[in-house]
Amino acid sequence: MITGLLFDILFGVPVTLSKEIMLKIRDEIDKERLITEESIKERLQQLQLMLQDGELGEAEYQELETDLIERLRAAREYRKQRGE
Amino acid sequence: MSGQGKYIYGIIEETQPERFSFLGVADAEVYTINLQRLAAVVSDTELNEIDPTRKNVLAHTVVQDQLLKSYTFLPMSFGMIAGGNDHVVNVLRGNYQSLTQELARLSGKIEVELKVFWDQQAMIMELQSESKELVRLKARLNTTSSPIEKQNLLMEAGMLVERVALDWKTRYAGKVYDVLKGMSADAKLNNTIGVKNILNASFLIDQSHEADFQKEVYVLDSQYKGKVNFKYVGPLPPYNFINLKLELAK
Repeated sequence: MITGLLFDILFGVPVTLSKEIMLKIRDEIDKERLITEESIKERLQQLQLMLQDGELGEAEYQELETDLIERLRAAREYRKQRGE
Repeated sequence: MSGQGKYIYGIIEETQPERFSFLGVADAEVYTINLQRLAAVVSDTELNEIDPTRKNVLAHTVVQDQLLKSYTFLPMSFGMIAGGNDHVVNVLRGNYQSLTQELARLSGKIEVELKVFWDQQAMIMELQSESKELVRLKARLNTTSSPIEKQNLLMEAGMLVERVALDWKTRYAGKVYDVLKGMSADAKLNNTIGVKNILNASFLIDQSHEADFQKEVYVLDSQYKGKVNFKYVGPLPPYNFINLKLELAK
């Protein structure tokens, strides 16, 4: 459960503060330690939905996408090194 | 892989080599590699793997949407790359019979997708009706300085939200799925995406029944308006209903 979303529900913090939301998502991503390719792709899909719904701004989405693609490349590299 | 890689969008029935007017991933030309009555729709790539960025996923989807307009189409999932022309022909040859059968089975059928999300405002209203627990949680969240207690309180709040979401999932999402499944040739539940998503389902329907199906979606949507939100996408190529997994091992 995304902490930011819980705060929104409990205290009515507007969800349009996308810079703030982005920072929260980045925290969540760090905490969850997304390391499998599947989990990174799933998170990308989720962010694309948030962008479509206007919960995330274009610039913020782009930054997060760049982060996640970097992670994905690292995960692929790791898989190759292990010879999987 | 030197410039020979073929990014595969899907398989169609086509005896003639075709070059299409729309562009593919990385703005590459989209064309067919044919074998008898089958053709793989491909574009050239120098990469071994394509990143699932929004731009690339969109390019993949646009090609598939275009093909769906003129063909019965077996779509490949995002990111399938074959080693070259011969590799694609070998895949077609090795799976010729099953590909032909799948194309015949899915002829005239389309996939549509329905996602149902709980509405944030409705969730807040619902939680307020269970006000005692909510007031207690909020008050303690505001006063506590212990990060561990804060974490625990948020977890409790999360469980409250999940309890309502689970109830709505049974009450609304379950019913929506059953009704629409009854109108479909086949239906499938997919993993939900994100916290608010309580139904993520794909339906295989006859192209000629699409209008009736949509009408029923509107009826259900207006029935549950205010609690949950619907997101309907279609027509799509039948990704989720292909009984065949193509292996691209070289």
